[in-house]
Amino acid sequence: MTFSGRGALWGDAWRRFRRNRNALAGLFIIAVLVFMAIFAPLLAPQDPVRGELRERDFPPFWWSGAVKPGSAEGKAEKRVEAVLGPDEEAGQLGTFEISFDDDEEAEVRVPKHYYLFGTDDLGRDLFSRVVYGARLSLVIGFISVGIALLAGMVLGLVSGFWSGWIDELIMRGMDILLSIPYVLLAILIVAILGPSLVNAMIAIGIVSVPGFARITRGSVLSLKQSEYVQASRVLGAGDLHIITRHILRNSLSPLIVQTSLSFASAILSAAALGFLGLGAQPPTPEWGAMLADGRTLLLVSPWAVIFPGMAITLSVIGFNLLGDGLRDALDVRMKD
Amino acid sequence: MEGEKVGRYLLRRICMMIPVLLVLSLLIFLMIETIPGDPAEIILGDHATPEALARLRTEMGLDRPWFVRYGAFLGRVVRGDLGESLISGAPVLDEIKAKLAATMELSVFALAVAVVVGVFVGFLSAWKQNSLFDYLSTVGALLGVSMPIYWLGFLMIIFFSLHLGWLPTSGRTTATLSLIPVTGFYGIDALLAGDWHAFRDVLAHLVMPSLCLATVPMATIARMTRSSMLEALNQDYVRTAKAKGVSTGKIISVHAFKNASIPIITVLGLQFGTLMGGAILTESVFSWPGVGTWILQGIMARDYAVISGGTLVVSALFILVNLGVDILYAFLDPRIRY
Amino acid sequence: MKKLFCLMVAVLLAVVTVSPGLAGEKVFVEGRAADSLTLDPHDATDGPSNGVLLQIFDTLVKFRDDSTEIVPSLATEWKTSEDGLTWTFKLRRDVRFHDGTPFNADAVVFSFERQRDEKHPAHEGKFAYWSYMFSNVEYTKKIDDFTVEMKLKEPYSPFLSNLACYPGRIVSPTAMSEKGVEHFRSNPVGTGPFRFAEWKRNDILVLVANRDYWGEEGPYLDKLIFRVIPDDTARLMALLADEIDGMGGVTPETIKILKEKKRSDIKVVANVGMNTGYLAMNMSVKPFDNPKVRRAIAHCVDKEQIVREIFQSMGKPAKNIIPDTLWGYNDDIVDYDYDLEKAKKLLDEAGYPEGFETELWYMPVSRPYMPNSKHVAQVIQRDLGRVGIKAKLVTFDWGTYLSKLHNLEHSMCLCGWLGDNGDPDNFLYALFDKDNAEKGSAQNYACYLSEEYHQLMLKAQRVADVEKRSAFYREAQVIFHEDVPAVPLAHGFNLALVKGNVRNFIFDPQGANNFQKVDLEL
Repeated sequence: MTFSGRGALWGDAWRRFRRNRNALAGLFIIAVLVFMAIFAPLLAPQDPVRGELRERDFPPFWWSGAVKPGSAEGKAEKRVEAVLGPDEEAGQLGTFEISFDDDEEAEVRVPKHYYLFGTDDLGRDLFSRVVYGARLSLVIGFISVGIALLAGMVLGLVSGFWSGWIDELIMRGMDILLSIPYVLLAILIVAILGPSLVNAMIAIGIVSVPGFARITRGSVLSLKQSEYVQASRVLGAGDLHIITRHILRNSLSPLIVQTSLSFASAILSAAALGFLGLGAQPPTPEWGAMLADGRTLLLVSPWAVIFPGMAITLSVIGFNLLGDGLRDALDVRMKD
Repeated sequence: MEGEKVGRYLLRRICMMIPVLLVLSLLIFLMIETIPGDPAEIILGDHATPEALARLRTEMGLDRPWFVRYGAFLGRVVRGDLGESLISGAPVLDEIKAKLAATMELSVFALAVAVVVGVFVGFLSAWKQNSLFDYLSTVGALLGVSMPIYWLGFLMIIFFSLHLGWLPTSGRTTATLSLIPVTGFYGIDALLAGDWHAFRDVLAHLVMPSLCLATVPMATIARMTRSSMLEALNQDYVRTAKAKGVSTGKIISVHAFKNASIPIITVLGLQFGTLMGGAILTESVFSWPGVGTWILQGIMARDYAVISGGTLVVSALFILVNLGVDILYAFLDPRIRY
Repeated sequence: MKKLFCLMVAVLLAVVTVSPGLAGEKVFVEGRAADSLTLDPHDATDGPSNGVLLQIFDTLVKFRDDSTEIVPSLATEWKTSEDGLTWTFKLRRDVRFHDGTPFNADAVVFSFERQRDEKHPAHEGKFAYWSYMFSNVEYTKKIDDFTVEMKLKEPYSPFLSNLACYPGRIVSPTAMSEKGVEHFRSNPVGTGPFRFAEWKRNDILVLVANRDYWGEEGPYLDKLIFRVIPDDTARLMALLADEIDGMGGVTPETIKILKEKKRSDIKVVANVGMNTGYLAMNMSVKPFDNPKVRRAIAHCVDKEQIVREIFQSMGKPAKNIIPDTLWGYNDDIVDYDYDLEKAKKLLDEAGYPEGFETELWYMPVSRPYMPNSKHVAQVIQRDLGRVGIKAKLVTFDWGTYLSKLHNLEHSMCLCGWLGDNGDPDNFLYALFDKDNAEKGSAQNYACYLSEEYHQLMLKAQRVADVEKRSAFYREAQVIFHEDVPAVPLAHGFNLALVKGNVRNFIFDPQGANNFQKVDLEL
């Protein structure tokens, strides 16, 4: 890698990237995600937050056995009947059995709209929620990876460039952060800050700092020895100049790759925190929280679990594919 | 000379663990300290009277300053006493042993599955590069690292337990099964007791959670194996061996595989952390009475003793495993600088 | 490679078939959401501990099956002195504890004095319930081997009902003194229909039938196993897969699934719980000091729909803070109807035509009176939004939640109450009297300071006659309705699911299940 050849390097990288079908697929998925996020209000047919209880638990309109809007026959709700036991005279506190009977009085429900992904148990359109969820996932990615990138880069630069006790201090700190399992650490941080989406992002950001710090430090260390850095130092360039002009620019490739991969893991972690009830609070349409809500109805409304889960999986795949593609294109060898 | 060097390296690594553990304990303690909430409220529940609360706070030492409690905490930890759970009153160390055994059984099984399947698949797709199998396994590995594992857990429960009725949905054993825990690893306990029925029961309960937990490491190992095998197969000496007419089996087992094993071992060490994190989610899906759900419940209930003891033990274990990996690595790769 | 594959399939198949337990034995496996915390019957405050202790221990008097009627148990008869301060109990003869110790007056004195007397050698624990229910007891003493006397500081009408509650359980004095309280906590010895056998924390707890049970009936089961399955869905799936015979912690979601699945071999057993879920508005915070704002909010809450859809009809909409199963219930109250127009008008009059911003706190846990607080909060939030009140949903872990409520840090919160002894005082005084509105320990989450209401509460506490007390409480409910410090939402059912072959599965008034008479048809 030489100084003068940088333009050609990026051109090469792009050519290699374009030829990588996987990477392009990843880029496509991300483009769809971004599109959904930007145009969510236009794409979402319903309000993602406010629903009508009357519309609850409807399957997607294409689901087998789904009732179509305007149909004469609806989904019959079983009436709940209390069957008093033999101890009826014992008073109102007595134990009784409850049976669910089909009968003429059963309330018949017909959906008002065509729901692409069905509705949840509060009658909200899941498609609209998934679409708005894309917004959240991207925001989560940007903010948490942003925190990690910024903090990690600064720490890595400082520790790689100046070495000595600062280096030792920072890297041991990173080791300690890494010695608590990732998810556990995030949970602990959220427990301290209180469950909310913002705090979940901060937690994920903190947890991802060591990765960025190590990568930056690694490339700083190798670049510091490189000929052109040595040369510019001989020519009298200051630390700051060297950092901004040479080292930052040249450690960009591994950082770009790490950013893309961290996006993927940030989305996964935010969903996990949401799933554990430690992330986004209701009625926010966050995918992980949607999974947690849908979990209780796994047996009757599987769509409430299937689609948010698919959304998470697809977007994580997108960022993973992009990351892998970038790694190949930029020819980055990563140790971790 | 060499041996002495390795010894000194090991000693240095082990000595370095002490300050790390100390800082870790302080970090964990301070983190717990800043978690809002009052355990006395939880213990006494909805019907707490203010006098009872005040009395309990004093009794539990919650009114003392944090550094006094950290000192006391550290003193006890050094003596191997992790305190008593604020909620159940049981010694944390006893509980952690039982929970850790459950999680270990799950993790070891999961890791075994991950290694066997991962290495096998990765190896095969490298050998038959660009075949349909290679393509499918690459897609599978990508899915494996990208799926929320709890989601996969749900799908497995729906399919295997509810539709097919093959596997139990949750827990470590059927409730009616009586097993005398000797090692805490139920599978081994069942074998020790010679109880074949119990063993099958334990195994049946292990299948889905361990598959679920194994997903990420399995995918990672498969990818790693594939790429390091590919790299090894393209090395000059392998090509030379091939040209010399050395049998395919020998090339793979002796030359390629040995070199490919180093990165695989590294990945294995790193996967332990993933497993621990994944255990929290997997255990929550399958109601596995392990250390993950235990710590999570501790956090939710503000059980300081459980959080500090649990986190400390898990992290210490993690550090030990990484040390073990480093040592193994040092032995396997002569190029490493001490 | 093929061989390996075949081997894997074989192992899988071997694993797949799980055979049931021993034939002929009647084993009942109860799936529950949480493990017991302690098996010291006097120190337990949580449902899961109580659910087990109920089977192991007896009390002097008990509720008759599933009613609030008090009937003899370990005491065969009792009388009270004219001033209502001295109670004398005649004890049942020929009863033995599970460890062989005979049951007599010494055991009763031991059980009560260890809770009351701080110098008692077995006074190890917090005894939260004793101080809550029996701080009024001066002493318990032995008259002869089968007679005990209890002395109260003041006459107290719910005393006898309280004896049927947690602190009234009689423990084996030999078991507790010989091996110590610590040991007893995980090896309890009582006189009940089941004996303790084994406990793996957070996994299973095993009880076996007490074949020498003194009671006229039962136990019919050979073994009773409690198994912890924290997740509601996982627990239901275990029931559907025949891994357990019954389960508690039944949520509305469970009911929905059952409706959908039509499993005729599973029964839903219920009783109307002695509980109320409500929305409290902190009157010490603006604008909730304004009664028109509170009434407006009461008009925004669609209780009918909340109970039908979110409770899945497993409860009754509430218009009073006490459940209608209690005496003193005022059925003449006409509830605020769900009417957003009226709500808007009231807000206009109150000077908030544009509405306002506030917080609505919801519980992180599920209780019979509020099975899904998160959903209830979202529905109320939606309707409040329609009249311009923007409520942000907030929650904390349960401990923090309670402690913040006690500190009155909230504006609006969802909460509720499980009644203890079936006395209206236990709801109306405990939850809304100004005596209980002190920051730091407030149980009166509305910070409702009405003097008129307070006077009625005091009057009702001072008379013994139920008719007179009833009249005071009925009046208090009218004042409450006018002032709306809180919007009563619902009285939830206690629910359990059992397999079709389970007989005599009942709830006691406190919502626990006594397994003495439970039987399985094999």
